[in-house]
Amino acid sequence: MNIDKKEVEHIADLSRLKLSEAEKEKFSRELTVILAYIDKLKKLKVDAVFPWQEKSGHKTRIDDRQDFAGRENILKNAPKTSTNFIEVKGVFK
Amino acid sequence: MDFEKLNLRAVHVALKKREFSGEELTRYFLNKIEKSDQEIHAFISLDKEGALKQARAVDKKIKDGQKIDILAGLPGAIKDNILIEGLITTAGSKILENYVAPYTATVAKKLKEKDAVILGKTNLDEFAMGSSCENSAFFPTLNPLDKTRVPGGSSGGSAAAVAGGMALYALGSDTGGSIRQPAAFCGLVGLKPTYGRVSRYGLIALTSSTDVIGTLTRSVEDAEVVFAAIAGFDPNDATTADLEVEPSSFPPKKPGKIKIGLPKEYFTKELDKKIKLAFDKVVKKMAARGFETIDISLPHTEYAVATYYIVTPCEASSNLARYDGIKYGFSDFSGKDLLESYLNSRQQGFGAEPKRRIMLGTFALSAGYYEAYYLRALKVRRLIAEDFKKAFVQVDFILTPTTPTLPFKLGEKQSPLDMYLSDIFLTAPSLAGLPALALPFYLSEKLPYSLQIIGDYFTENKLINLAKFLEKEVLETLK
Repeated sequence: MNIDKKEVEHIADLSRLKLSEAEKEKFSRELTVILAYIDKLKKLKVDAVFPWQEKSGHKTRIDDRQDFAGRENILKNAPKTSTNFIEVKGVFK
Repeated sequence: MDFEKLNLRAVHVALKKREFSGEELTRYFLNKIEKSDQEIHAFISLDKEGALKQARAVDKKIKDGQKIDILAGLPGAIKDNILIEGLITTAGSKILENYVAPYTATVAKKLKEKDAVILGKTNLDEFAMGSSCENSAFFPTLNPLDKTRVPGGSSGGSAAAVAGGMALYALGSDTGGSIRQPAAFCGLVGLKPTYGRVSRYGLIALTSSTDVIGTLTRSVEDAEVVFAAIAGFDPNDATTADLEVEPSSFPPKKPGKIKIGLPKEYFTKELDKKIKLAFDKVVKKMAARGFETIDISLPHTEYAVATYYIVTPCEASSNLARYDGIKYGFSDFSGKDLLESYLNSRQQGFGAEPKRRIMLGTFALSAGYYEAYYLRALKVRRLIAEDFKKAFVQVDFILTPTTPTLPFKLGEKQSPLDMYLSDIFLTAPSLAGLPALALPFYLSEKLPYSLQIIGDYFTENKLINLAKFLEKEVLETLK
């Protein structure tokens, strides 16, 4: 699988990454090499394999409301806040 | 006193006998860090005040004749992707450079409940993505055993802190080798528990389906002590198992009829000849001590790294979507709209490896490629796990080298794929979720060798018992 510059730009757009021209070229090269290595998985017949694994000993907690004590600490980490809200740029024109 | 030669139990006994105070012990390590870490760079940040406060509290308990835990007052280090409330937690990334943890991870809480002293937070490859610590956004860490070489990664800072005598023990995280490989490179015991044995509540997520927190210590007995302190079910981590941690019997059992599997697929051309020779020497000695060694096959081994480098980037691209510059971390609001805020913050906040993995993962999950890459990788992962399941019907443990080479030099591995392949023996147990322990040994050279022992699910203490026996009865006398 060859990852050309156009494909890199498409993936970057989906990834919410802004890339420089140099990065686009670098990732095109590197991802092509990595995917060539990963292509060895295509040698295997996997049609009949179930993809999920079973796990033992799992227990979910009761579906109950719990108070979280760190609310203020969380707000302190936000770059922009206004009263008890995190502020972002306008979404609507 | 030469703390570097003592195990945790011995330091604990000396502390209780008041051969030194807890404060003196902590100051010793803080001084050692001040002296050594200018060069090694094992720590990203220190919590001197918190450490000394904890040490004094332990001194008071001892003075008052109160019972103390074995870890009480003993100074350790924690990888900087594990949260401690009020302390900066960076995950080795610029995007979290100023992030103050709003709560404490369960593992750190458990250590604190035992009055353990936490000296500081250790360096790692950015978001635990890497095998050398060179991907840290801040600085590379040097290997204290040979400063021209890497300490391994991603828990390289934790390994260097313990190997450099700057902490008695450390916590790391292992996603595809991130405890075992640095343990091997720094001559330490590295324990990656079974997936689900130790809570990840408060661990910054890389690959949620393989991330495990574990220990880096100088001896197997120390690994046992720290593991016992952090293991167990946690209602805050739905992936932890509600299974009892069985106590380990000490002294270790006799080799008797223990069956050790040697998987032929691990002895390929990638394996350094020196390591193969050293490994053969260990196997011969084990056979002489009465272990039954059996050649086994794990036929899907050669697909493990390829599978891992689909599964991990996919999960990482999803886990790292939360870094948007809005809620926390580095942010650049200079753009014209919300989308530009995301793009600008992420462009400047992430280093090369996270970007590479986000790109790879997003590609493998995108329309048209999901079946060919992600779903196929999940199926191969299942085949890898089945290989182990079959093997454990036949044998009690599986023994392999930990790494294909001895520690490499800083800057030696230039391509990402080369770096990925340094974890060639480590990714398969991670994908299967099995416990594994890296056990160091020395021959004539100053650089350490390392064995990887893989055990069946939730049998860490059996693994520890075998490792204790090998450490004392087989590896000590190899030189």
